[in-house]
Amino acid sequence: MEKVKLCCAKCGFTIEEYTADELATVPRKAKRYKYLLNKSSICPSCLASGRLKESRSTGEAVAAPAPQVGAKSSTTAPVAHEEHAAAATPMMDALAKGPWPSHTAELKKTRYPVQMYEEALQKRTTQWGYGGYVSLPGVATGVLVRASARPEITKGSNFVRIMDPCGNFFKADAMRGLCDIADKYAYGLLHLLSTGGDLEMLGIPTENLKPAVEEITKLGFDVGSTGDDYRTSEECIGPAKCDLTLYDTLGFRYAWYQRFLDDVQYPRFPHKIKCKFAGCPNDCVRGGQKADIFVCGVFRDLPKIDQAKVASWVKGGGDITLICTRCPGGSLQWDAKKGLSIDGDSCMRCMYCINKISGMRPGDDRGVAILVGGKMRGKYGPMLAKVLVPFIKAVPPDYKEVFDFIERLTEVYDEHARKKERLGDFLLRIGINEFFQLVGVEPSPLLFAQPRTNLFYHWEPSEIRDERQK
Amino acid sequence: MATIELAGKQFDVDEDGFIQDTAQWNDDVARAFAEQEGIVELTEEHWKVIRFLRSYYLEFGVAPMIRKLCKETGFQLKYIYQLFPTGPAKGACKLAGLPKPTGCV
Repeated sequence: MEKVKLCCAKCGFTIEEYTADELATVPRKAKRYKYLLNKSSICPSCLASGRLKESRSTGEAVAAPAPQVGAKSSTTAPVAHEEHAAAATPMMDALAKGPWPSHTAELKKTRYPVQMYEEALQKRTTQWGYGGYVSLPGVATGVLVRASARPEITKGSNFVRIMDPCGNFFKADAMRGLCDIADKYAYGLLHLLSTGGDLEMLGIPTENLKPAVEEITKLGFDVGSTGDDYRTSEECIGPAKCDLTLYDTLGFRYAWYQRFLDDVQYPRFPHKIKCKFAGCPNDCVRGGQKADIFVCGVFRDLPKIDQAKVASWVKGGGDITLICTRCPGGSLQWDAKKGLSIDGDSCMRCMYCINKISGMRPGDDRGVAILVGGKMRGKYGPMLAKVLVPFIKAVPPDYKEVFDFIERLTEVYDEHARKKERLGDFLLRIGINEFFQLVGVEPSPLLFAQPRTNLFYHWEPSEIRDERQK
Repeated sequence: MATIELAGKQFDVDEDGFIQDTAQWNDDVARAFAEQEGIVELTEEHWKVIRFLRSYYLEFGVAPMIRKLCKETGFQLKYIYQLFPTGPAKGACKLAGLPKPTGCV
């Protein structure tokens, strides 16, 4: 059967496809074909505009797919176990020189298809293709597959995400077990702690997926976190190592998993939701930029000052005047006799002085703030998170109040958002006021889209003067 | 176009095995797909999901969102995954004779 394709003249992207029979018998399609051929069109792939190119090919009808049993792929051909021929890798060898441990030397020791990386270095662009999911009975989220743009080197690579325990702590024994599984079934390569807060095991052939996942679950780990669900959450190290944390981030994340594990493993939302939990406004997990739901530890009262410690810090050479001038609210005052004082009205609780001066600690009235809508990609590009709840008490062990609120938030998102719309895009579309009504939050002056600079500056009548009337 | 033989009849299918012409569907097709998917027996609860998916598709022309499916049938998402091991999109929609859903249902 002869096939007629209309392709972009620049990049070759197929825009419409017909068979010769269709063009002869269906007048609607013939008309459309003629219309497209004579008109200047915009290619959705490379955005070039111009006349389309016509290409004709005779293709045999593909055979019926065999009855599929067990694991099967939706987007690509099943990834089989493959041996990679040894070939010269001059660019990778160059990266292996020098005193620092080299990633290329490590990759070469494993079954990773090194030619993919070598070609990428030579052509200065990645040789991997789009991603997708392989459905696997028993794993509702499916398994990620990374397709290859160079099928002659490798057919693609499946990888599973393994949820790590809170604090990203692995016992050495458990790690050995994971390493054995990676050696046995995969490339023999672990991607330790991706930016999403999980562990990725790369390059599992499709026929090995089932035994590999079975062995991983036998070790006590869970796989999942792909598709339109809660992705694995990430928290800062919190009370396990840090002295500034304002709530127990590790316990919070553990309780979060206890409550929302079903939503992590069974995709049901319009798009992915990423959660990050930071212990204090320093935000070491970058939740304000990256997370759809960001829970940040905050304090309501003023930072505590240990005057004796501050005085000894100044005596030892601390530059207190610099700190006072750089205070974002301009609220720090240093007097050699009276000591350090804070103006409560203009203090932003930004942690700057606490980070810089020894002897200053966060206040005692502690809780969490909930911010929504941060993201790096999505329809409208990067967005910073917006404050939805400025203060809420986090009460262990089950943090019921906070999680009830998060559940209400996701229900609203689930009910009203369109398909494949991130929470930030959804907020932009309906507006923050509408969202407040849907979630049931009273708008208050304590909610800010950005850190406060001069939002509530009180203008004196003498300061207001019309420039035109001199 | 690939074809597949189910219950003694020929059907056009896409690369994932979803039948192309929804009108050709009948109960026997669902039973034949169930065997492929590894479902032992189609119970009344399976049929409830399948009938809802079909009626929604015939009315609106698209597969329903997962939230809608759970709400209308009254099943938890987890239970639907127990009924159809490959999930609502690849399992249930295939049995119901719908074309392949574009999103993740």
